[in-house]
Amino acid sequence: MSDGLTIRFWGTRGSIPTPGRSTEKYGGNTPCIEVRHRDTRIVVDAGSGIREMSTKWLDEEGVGPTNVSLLFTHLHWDHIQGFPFFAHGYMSQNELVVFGEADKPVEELLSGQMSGDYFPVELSAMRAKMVFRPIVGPFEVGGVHVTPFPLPHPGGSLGFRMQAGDSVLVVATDSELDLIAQNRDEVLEDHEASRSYADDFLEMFRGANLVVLDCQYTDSIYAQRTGWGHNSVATAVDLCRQTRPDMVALYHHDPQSSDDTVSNMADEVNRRLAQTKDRILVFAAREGLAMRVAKPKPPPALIKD
Amino acid sequence: MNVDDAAEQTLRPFKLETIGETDLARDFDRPTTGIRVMGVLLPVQACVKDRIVIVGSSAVVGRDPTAEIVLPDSAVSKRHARIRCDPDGLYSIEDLGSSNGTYVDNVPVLSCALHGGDSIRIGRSMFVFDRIRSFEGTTET
Repeated sequence: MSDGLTIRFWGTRGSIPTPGRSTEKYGGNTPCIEVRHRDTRIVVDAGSGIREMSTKWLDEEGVGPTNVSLLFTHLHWDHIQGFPFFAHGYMSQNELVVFGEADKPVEELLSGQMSGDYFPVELSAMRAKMVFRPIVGPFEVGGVHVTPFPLPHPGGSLGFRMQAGDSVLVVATDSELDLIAQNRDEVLEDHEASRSYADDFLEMFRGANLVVLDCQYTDSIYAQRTGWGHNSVATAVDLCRQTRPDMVALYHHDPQSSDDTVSNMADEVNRRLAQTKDRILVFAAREGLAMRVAKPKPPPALIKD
Repeated sequence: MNVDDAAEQTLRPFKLETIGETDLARDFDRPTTGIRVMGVLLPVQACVKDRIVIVGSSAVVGRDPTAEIVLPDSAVSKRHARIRCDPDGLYSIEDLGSSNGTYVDNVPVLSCALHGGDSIRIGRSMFVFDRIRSFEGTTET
């Protein structure tokens, strides 16, 4: 058991589940991240990946009482659509604390997608003890300090900076950071220009061991998707340079992106960072990847032939 | 040109004989029993030279002679990692608390699903993971 945070990706795809041969490496399930610290379980978003997470927990641990804190970044469909398939929610021995944006009717929206016209089982059939808590500021979950911060996305979205001891994880999905750049007009003209952000915003990312960052679009696709609420490669590169986390997991992959496209995007971020000698480990988040949230140790040098 | 002629012209470039005998074409003539998929580690730069075929549902990789996959390298822990194959034929790797970590595509992992083409670094060795099919006692990539 780790004393810091560990993370496991259960869904990395944005917008809509995208199964198929071309997405099998990074996965087709919509957003769901499991974060653990000692006995504490935090789940960020309930996209379709939550179903497999629940199945895995049952396979490994059985039906014993399970306490889960479920943090919603926002309530767009791809972030809630797996909730009716979260098996632990139906078991009365479990406790589920649901955190969501204070200005959104979280319980009503979760219930709405389970009403009779959409789904055969009502929210009331979920027998777990369920408590809804509006997010109004920093909060603590089982030794994990969570600082929420607003992200620019249609309808709004929250980022979460989570810290346990020295272990710092930032989840910043569903965001189009160019829209809050103070030099937005310059960035629209020159997409590779350095963005100027408010310092308190950048502070959310500084010192992080791992940032999970929306990077849905290539730069060329972004030019056709400005205002849709998601970042591009250039934005990810710029944020890396300005905040220098140890690792960045590119997240919320576009449903149109094949595994090759996603790999190429991560390669491109690394190539541009290498040009400025920024040593940050950037990779594309993939379903089934579990890792420690800690400064990564380089592997031993390869044996000489 | 009628519709059927046009359709044949459109399809012609994709007829099987124009691209030679493919694995897929040969599989159509085979019985489906007797074929199984196995994982394989292809050494890229490694302390072993031969490819390693992973037989069975679980194999420990380590320095210890009792490991299913023995890597004679002081940078490898005695029991370093475990490669699993689930009943659906999906492979994954799990670090067993090794000293020097397990890396998939250069990312330090606690566990990770494996796909063909993934690089795996254990100790001072790098492998590429792939899957092969075994048929009637033979193996082919």
